Amino acid sequence: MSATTLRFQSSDGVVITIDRDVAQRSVLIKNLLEDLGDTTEAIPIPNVNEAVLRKVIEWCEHHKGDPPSTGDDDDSRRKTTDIDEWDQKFMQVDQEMLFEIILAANYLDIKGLLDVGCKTVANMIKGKSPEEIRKTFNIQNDFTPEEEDQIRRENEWAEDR
Amino acid sequence: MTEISALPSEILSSILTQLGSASLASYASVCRKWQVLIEKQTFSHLLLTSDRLGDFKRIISSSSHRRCLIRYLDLYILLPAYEIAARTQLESQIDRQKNNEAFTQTIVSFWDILSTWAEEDVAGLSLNIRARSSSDCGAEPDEKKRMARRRWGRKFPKKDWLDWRFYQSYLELITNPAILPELSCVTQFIVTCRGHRTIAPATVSKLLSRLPGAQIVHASLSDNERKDPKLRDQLRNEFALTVSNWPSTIQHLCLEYPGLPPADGHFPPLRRSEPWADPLSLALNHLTQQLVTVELDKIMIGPEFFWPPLHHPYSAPPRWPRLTSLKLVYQAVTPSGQWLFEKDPRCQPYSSSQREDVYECGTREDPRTPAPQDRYPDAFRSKPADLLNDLHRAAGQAAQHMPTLKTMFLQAIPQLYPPGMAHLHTEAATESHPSPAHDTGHWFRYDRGRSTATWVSSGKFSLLADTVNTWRQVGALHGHADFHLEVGFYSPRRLIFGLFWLRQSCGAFMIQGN
Repeated sequence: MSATTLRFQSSDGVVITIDRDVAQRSVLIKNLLEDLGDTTEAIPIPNVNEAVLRKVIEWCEHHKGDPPSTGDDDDSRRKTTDIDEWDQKFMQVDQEMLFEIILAANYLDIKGLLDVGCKTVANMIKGKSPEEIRKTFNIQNDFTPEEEDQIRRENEWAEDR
Repeated sequence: MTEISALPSEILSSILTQLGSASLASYASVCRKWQVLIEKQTFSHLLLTSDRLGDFKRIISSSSHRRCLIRYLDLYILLPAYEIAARTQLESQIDRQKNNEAFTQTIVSFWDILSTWAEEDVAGLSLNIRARSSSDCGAEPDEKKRMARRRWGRKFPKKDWLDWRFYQSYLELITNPAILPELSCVTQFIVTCRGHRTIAPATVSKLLSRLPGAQIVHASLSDNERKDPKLRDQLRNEFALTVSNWPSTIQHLCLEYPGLPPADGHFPPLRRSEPWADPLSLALNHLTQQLVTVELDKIMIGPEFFWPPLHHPYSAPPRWPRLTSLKLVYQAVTPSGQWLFEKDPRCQPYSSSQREDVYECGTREDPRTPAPQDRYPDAFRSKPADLLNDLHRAAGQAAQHMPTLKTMFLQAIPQLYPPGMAHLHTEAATESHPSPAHDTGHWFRYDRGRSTATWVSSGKFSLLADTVNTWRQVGALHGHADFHLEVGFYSPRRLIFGLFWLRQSCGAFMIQGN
């Protein structure tokens, strides 16, 4: 009989107890448990700090009833950048937290959360001019004005098909 | 502080993919990192019309990283434009010459540009070639107008011959292919003639001979010249002669080469070669021995495609050491002019009065006037003839020399009507004379995984003993302990249930293997 809860240690040393089936939304942890078998030790999550880990757990708890992803991700990913209402609220965080969540979802291999994160960023980019994008995300413009213009035109040429 | 720059490239890339179908071009100019990620998408698939080759050369050479991003080049060769009034005339010899010049010139320029690329810059490039004039009916930008013209078809406008204007034109490379530099970066070569101008098959061979890295070939060509048998045989024989120039790197071939039999079942088909000696069938026999997968669609072919006749002076028996899958959809007539299907006793040929009903008379110079063999469409041939055993026995002999074969699928197209005549048939279909496209057929499948060889046909097929024995031996050679040979039929109008029915009745027809 396996334990119903598991303990995890965040990068800043905080131990958090989580339901086993919630934790298994993460493919990384699921595989880890299959290799480890039962453990009562706290499992270290070296790349994720407490605040982010709690956010990730909150998402997993809300979505624990979701059907597992079917693997044919291309369709669902490209079709729409619609995000359900709860997820939208969940993602109303500052940019630092947003990118931390995406990195954590990527590290822990939680596809649904990674998708929501990517869609949120995509929605922030959509419809913005290059200058607005740079401003929003604090990106350095490493082009001269001539280069910028040329690259845009050449990409427009390539898209014409 | 974690910023967008902290995201790994593949995540940023997947975010940028989600931006959807709207233009990505402006995002490329955000910064250099984004440029690389966006150009992976914008430059992966390029449309190269003849007039864009100059831009292509400039834009691609300005930054070498873009070459590695290209996966698919769609070379759309633009032929000279013509006035709408010209659609009332057939293409003249001068028009054809001009088209061939434009075609050749674009090919030469394109080959020159790619030859300057270093080999390590690009790997696994797909090249699609197609050609059309912007004045062709099919290229008419106003789709509504185009559809209307098509719908009116023969009736309106009287003098617009639409795409019939160039129905006897075959684009040719009019230069020695040796002047084209060899391009080893192209691994997949696609030739699209459907919906576009027809390219002479020998020209496809010439181009392929300059692509020494080609692994996959997809070509839709035409063997369907109806009115000029000399031209038709010339195109086919030149193709047969030049297939030997295809590079030895090719592993996968998908060739559509429709050459329909006479639409009139009474008509004796043309004898284009001696029995068992069709040059194209023999050339393809040779080519397929190097291949892994083969798909030949709507082709007119003889049993020599599989196995040479006994007296054929081959040095060693053919062998297909790597072939895993073969699919052949063949016409109801052999190149030596023999019908593979007979009159089905259930189908009555038209009476002479009916024959006149379906034929709408045209003038001699009207290109839409059917050729003699198509004048009285009458597709009553749906019963497999004994001759079909030759093909199936030869296929079995060949399969004995295909050690890695997993599936072989052979399907006959009994009789169809040439392009532009299908409507005659639909109107004429009756209970006693059903539409052959849907209700008749003959297919065979060898499935190594299921240890079965299955024949299904409309009309009774007399499977001869040596055909059965040949396939039994295939089963033994491929190591089947329990090999089944099945024969079934489906009757007209029961096609959907045919397979189910076959399963039910297998017991009655099954010939058990050893």
